[in-house]
Amino acid sequence: MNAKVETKPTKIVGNVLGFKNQKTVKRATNIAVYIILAVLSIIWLAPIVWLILDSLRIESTGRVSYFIPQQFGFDNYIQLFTDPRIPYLQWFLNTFIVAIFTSLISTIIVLLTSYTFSRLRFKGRQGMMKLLMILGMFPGFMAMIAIYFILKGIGLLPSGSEQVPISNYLISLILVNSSGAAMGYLVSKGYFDTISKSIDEAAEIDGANKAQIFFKIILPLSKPILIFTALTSFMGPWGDYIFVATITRQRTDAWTIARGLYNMLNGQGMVAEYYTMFAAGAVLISIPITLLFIWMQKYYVSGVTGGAIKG
Amino acid sequence: MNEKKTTPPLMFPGQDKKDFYLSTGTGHYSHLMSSFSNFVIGLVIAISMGGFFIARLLHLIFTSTSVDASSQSAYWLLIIATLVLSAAALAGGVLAAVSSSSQRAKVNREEVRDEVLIKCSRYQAIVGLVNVILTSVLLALEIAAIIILSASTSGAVITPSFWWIILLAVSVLASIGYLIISLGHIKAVKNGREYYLAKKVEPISMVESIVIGIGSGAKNLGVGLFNFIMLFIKAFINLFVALYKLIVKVAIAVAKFAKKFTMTFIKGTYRTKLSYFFMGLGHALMGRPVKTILYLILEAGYWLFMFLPQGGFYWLSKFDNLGDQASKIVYECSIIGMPINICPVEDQIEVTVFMDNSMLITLFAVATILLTVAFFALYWISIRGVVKAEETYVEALKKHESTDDGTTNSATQEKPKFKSPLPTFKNEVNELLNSRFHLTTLSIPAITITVFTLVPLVFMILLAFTNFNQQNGPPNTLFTWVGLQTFAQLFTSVGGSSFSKAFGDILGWTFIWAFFATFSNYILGLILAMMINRKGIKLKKMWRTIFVITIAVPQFVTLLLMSQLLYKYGPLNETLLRLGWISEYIDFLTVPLNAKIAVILVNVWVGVPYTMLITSGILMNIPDDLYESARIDGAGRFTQFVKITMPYMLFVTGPYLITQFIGNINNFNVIFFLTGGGPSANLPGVEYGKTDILVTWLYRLTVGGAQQEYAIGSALGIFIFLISAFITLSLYAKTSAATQEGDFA
Repeated sequence: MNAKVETKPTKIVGNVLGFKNQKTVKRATNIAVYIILAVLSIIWLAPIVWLILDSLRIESTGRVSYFIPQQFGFDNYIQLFTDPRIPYLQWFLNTFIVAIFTSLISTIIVLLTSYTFSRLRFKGRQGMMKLLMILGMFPGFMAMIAIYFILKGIGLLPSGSEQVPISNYLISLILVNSSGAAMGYLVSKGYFDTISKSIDEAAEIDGANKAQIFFKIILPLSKPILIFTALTSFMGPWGDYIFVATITRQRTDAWTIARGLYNMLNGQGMVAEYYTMFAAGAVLISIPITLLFIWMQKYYVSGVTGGAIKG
Repeated sequence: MNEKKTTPPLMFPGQDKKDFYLSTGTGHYSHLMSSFSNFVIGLVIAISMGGFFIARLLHLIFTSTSVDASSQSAYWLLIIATLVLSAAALAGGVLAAVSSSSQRAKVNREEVRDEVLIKCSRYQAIVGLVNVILTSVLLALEIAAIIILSASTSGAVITPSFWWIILLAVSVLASIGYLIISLGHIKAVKNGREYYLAKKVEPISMVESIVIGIGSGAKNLGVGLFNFIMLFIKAFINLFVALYKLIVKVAIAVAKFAKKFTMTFIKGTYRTKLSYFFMGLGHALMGRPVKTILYLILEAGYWLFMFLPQGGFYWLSKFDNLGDQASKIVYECSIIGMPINICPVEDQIEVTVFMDNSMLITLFAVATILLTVAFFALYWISIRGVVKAEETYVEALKKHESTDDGTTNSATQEKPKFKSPLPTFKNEVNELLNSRFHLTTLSIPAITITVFTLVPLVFMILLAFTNFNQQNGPPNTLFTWVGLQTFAQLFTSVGGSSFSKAFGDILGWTFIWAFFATFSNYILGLILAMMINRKGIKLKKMWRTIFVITIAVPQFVTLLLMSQLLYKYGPLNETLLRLGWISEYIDFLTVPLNAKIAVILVNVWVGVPYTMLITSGILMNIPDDLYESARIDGAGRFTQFVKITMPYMLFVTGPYLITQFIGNINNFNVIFFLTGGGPSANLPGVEYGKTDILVTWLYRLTVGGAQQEYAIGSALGIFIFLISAFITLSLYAKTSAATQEGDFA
């Protein structure tokens, strides 16, 4: 069978309708796509713009039924730091402390674990990896309730109506947030797998032991993944509500930002007075996190996907 | 004609297989596809019309007597008309389905000739047209009923429901589709005949490619669905088989270990035997006292812990029933220092002394058990260490005693001192940094995982077998083991509990939510990525950054914001009202159905940028020549999408989709911050909402709400784990990206 294959249908359409139209069709579609993209961008960015607008609204502090404020001002931002019911600065400090220590501990644990699984071979390696994967499938919240009881049992958290210092709560939060760190070893392990093993071998010939290889050679090469892990574990506690709510319960000055902001909207009788302050607080906290996130993207690309085998 | 037996059944005698290719060929596949899709459509029409018919019939039987005089005529007209029309449409749907399947049967029996096929399709087209007319009239009647009856002052007797309108609209569309497919099929057959006669390939029109695409898509869908269901059934069976094998393996391993344990003792030297009682003693007898001292300290520590008053054995003894008495009242004298027996009655005060705390008992007993297991492992390692070291030591000793290598000092007849071949303590410490580096690195993570993940998990799993809740909780009351009763309470309605109803509701919604959330995000993200990726679009990076900004803002901020946006008296409603799009405020978050839709839509807003980023990266990697060759072969844009883009994307992002699906099953944030679990379901005794998924209900049951149903919460948590594990394990094995690596094409 010698079937004579006709050429592209667009050419045929073009021949039928006239050559000019083919180009116009393409251009028209492009313009349509531009319009759709513009509309979608507006839809996606609108809520954020609305947040910023609401944080600058000073004619009322509750929920209103219009988007654009009638009067603009920075009162909400100032009130955020002076209102006695909203210890915003304290929340910020709490979250910052928890985030820093969590980041430190998590990074150390994750890097050690993923390096071990990537490079070292020992009995029980496969078993441990499978165990970690299975442990990771439990809802984290379950372990958290148990940790709450454990911490209550050893006295770190109050079991009755007595007060414990804020640092107890912060320590508990740090422990809770960094406890599951080792189970997130997959990404870092992937990165370590891409580092050529010949570097290890060369160093071994030169007489270095495994510890020296890790600290002196591999670690400096892993800057992207190090920063990526540190940043992701740093950003975690800022947005975490459920752990904080379980651990700190009603102790207002031990809350973190997420818990505090949530309360400004959903606490008893709070929303009418504190809605605009919520907006201001949210804007203040979003700026550094957004910047961190965008900065982290760079390391995500070079750390996680760099050097990966593209299918 | 005899060749027919070896090749699949063909439409046109003499035509051979390689003339058929899916994108432009007609023939066997085309007939099967169109007949299959028409069959399905016919079923859809038949079922929906049948349901409508039955509903109206029941209405006629049960409520016709309560109609008042003024609307009698309108009512009767409406009822009779809809009954007749829906019966006709039902018949039409059945006819459509039957004729399609008979066509397919004929095709399979090789009885066809092209004229027969065209006649069949014409017949189907007529049926389709009639169905279109019938369902459209029904739809019009229903809409008229709304208008007329809502205007009548006697109040609507039949309340035409919104759902019937949708159903009828679906039927209309389905009938139209049926008509189009039949017409397209006629054209395709004629095309095929011309091909056969003129032996050339004609360019295929868009309608045809759509029709053929839909048909093959429908067939693939059916086959795919079947395989999907079989996958789960097979995975389920495999699970039990694997479980059985695991139990057998464990039993054998335990037996082997027991044998080794006893044999090592029996066959061991005096050093080994002593080491069974005093950990590590053998090392001291071989010249390495430091190691022995360390081991002995550990051993002493362990036994001390176990025998101390509030130590291991104390907790283990209380473990069987989790405490005997929670508290007792003790009398003390308010006069300080005076013993109780001479205290006047009016000065005596009651003091509550707390004794057994069931939770602490469970916790510490679990810790003790795990500690014992760890200690036993260490104990066995120490014994093995002694045995191994002894081998080298004894061998070296023998060699030393037996050789006479001329280094004997002839004066004193003394041999040079025996040098133990075993590494000294200092050497061993050095090894920890080298060949045994993994022990050092994993020690800290192992401890944190054990203390903060393993112990809590085991603790929670055990709690599921108790009755820990507000009534049975420390410190005032005890809770105790109840076996599987808590599970029964959760899954069935035993004992009059209504937890099972809540559980069923929530489970169903969890899966619906996870499915819609995952796939809406994926497909919309893919479409967005494709739009940005198009050749003619400039400023690609700018578009992507705009969407990335929305995910850089912390999720709880945007979600809380959304919950305010959708507030009933909030700005969105107000704006829509002013624009005239709605006539009264829409209850976004307080009506169950609206809340469910709102949650899915908001999740799209939150999640599409993520999927857009991921699919973007993958889209850019699809080699262009795949598209080029498809275009040359005459495939239209839609065909290209369905046959190249989708399979490639599904191949690469398969594991991602699975993780997303499971992640959405456990997606606490979106649901909680938006609706808090949703409008309450108002079930007495059980607190839950209509948009609650399993995890948010877990939170509500344990920490968030007034109840403290920890036992039920634990059972729920175990169930969530089982679902996640089951889905992961069964689907991971199947996705091609997990099994094969490398080139897709």
